[in-house]
Amino acid sequence: MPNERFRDEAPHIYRALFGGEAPESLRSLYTAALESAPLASWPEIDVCCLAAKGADLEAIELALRRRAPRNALSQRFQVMTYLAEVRAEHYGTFINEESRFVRGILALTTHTGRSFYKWLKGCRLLKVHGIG
Amino acid sequence: MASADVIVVGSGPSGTFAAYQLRGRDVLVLDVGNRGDPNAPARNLYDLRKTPAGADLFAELIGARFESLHNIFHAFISPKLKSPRLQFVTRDADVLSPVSDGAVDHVVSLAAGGMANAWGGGMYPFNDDDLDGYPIELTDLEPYYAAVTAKVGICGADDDLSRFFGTADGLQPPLDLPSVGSTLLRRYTKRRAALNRRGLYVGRPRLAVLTREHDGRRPYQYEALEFFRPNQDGLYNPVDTLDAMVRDRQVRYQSDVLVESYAETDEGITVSAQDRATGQARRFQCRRLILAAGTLNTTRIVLSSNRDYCTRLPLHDTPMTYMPLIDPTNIGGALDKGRYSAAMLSAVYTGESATRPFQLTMYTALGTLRSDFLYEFPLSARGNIAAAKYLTPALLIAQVTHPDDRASIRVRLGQDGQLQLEKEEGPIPGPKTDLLRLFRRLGYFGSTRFCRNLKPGSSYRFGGTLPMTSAPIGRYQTDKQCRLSGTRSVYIADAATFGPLPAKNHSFTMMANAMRVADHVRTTL
Repeated sequence: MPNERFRDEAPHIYRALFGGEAPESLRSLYTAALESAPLASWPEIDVCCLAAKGADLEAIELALRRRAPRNALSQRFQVMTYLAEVRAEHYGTFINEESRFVRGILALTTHTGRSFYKWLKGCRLLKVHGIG
Repeated sequence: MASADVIVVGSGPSGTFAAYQLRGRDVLVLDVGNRGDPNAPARNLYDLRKTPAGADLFAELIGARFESLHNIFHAFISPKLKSPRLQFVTRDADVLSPVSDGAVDHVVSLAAGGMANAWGGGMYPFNDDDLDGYPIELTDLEPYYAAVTAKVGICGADDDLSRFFGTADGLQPPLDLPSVGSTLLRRYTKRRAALNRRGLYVGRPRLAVLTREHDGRRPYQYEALEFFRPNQDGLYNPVDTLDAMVRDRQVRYQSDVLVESYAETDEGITVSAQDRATGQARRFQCRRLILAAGTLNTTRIVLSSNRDYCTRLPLHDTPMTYMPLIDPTNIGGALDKGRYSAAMLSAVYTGESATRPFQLTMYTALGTLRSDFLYEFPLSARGNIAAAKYLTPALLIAQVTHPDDRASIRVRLGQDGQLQLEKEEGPIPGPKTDLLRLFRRLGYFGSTRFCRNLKPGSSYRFGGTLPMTSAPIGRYQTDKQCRLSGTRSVYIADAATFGPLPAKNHSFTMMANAMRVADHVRTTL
């Protein structure tokens, strides 16, 4: 049942993006959003199964996105990002209200290095799990 | 059968201003006339987002049917057109006014006010160079530009762009700038001479946005809701003018009517339409017909009236390129929440690689959701969220509009009633590298790798299917007064009559020319 599959995978996608537990209302919205639209057919992916194996979903998503921007895992990430962004509790995750030049530079530098590592890791995980 | 001296088809900028010039006469405006929900939030976007509004805010920003997620699953459309409250702008168009999907992007609006419900308000007059190849000159349009300016209220400034856009006489002061824009303007002022020598001129945009009260309308309130809410205070919408004329009984208005064709006889013109409520055919009678349904819809009506399924008409559009630029000194900058979300600055490029001027419109990314663009960054998902948070204040998006001399699209009416758009030539090379080099001198950095040439038609600025010429021939040209060749009393008042398109938003010229056409029609009654 796609409904249950999407509901079950929502916490894993949320955790990969923001850490912590996904609010129940967000799980419901995520499920409804994915049921309302046609997901890309590539790649066939079982998010819950990958999460159960301890796979790094963020790394896999980056590696897939570098191959094809429109893919079924990135679409799931994008849906969760949209749904979280409009919630007041995530306002500070997306919006920088005060001037924070140093913190901004540090964050970007750190994430550039971290993303390179995630990309290498993701490429390896695609092979290990036979994705794509 | 309802009748009128003049029937105007369409209520967008052209149709409304044609009707406006004829107000007080026996004028009937026919329109599908979809409307949005007027009960929209009226607070600053960021204050709204900080408030735990729950389902209400979700409905505003994402939509009960997840409308804002459109670009994740489907072909890209402007963030404005996908937002929940602006869905009415394009509602029903794919059924009532179908256009084939292909290599050419397109948007058709059947809303009251047309595409102006989702516009940024750009108001740029054509100059004599822009009108090269047209049978009219700037002096023919000037009185009407002045009349539109007086009615609409335009903000702008006398600056380096006045040589391209005319003086700012009669304009309201410009809008407040976000810091990323004021920094750019300050740096430009310091290096003006060198940049001008290389063909780059920067200044304030000309916008149909009020900074002072005008004609009973409030000035812009800096709520930054342009991407989410129709009918913003201060941002002009033709539907307000239309409604006022109807209220004052200066024109009649019939909505829920889709005009399909016309037939001209010695007795006058019979307009055939479909009643949307009943699905029944309806007919209207008039002495003069003014078509202003938007270039694609007007073309459809003309081809359909001639039952012509063979002719391929030229279609001009102004190709666009998006150039993201970063000012490193503004990384992590404080949120500029009270700013206009659409055009912040304008620029014109006339350098070596430009055969005709290119226009740049510069935006911040403050008015959209960060999710609309954060997956364009090359980092991991968490990295992208951080980049969106800290880079957005430093991000300037230059929308480069190309001139179009060649009409590289062809349009034909299919037997099934669908308009077919065909692209004939490849993408037009733009001056990306030159512009990136010039912006680097201003401290704004970008890369050709992140520049995106939009699909043909993505500017949603079409024109030229029924061009005005001094000696029209055949059935698909118009004379200087925009009367359709081969007809006695059918006039075209939208951009379908334009020829080569300069790299400018042509709404202002559409409105002024519609008034000019209507003025002529008035003399023939």
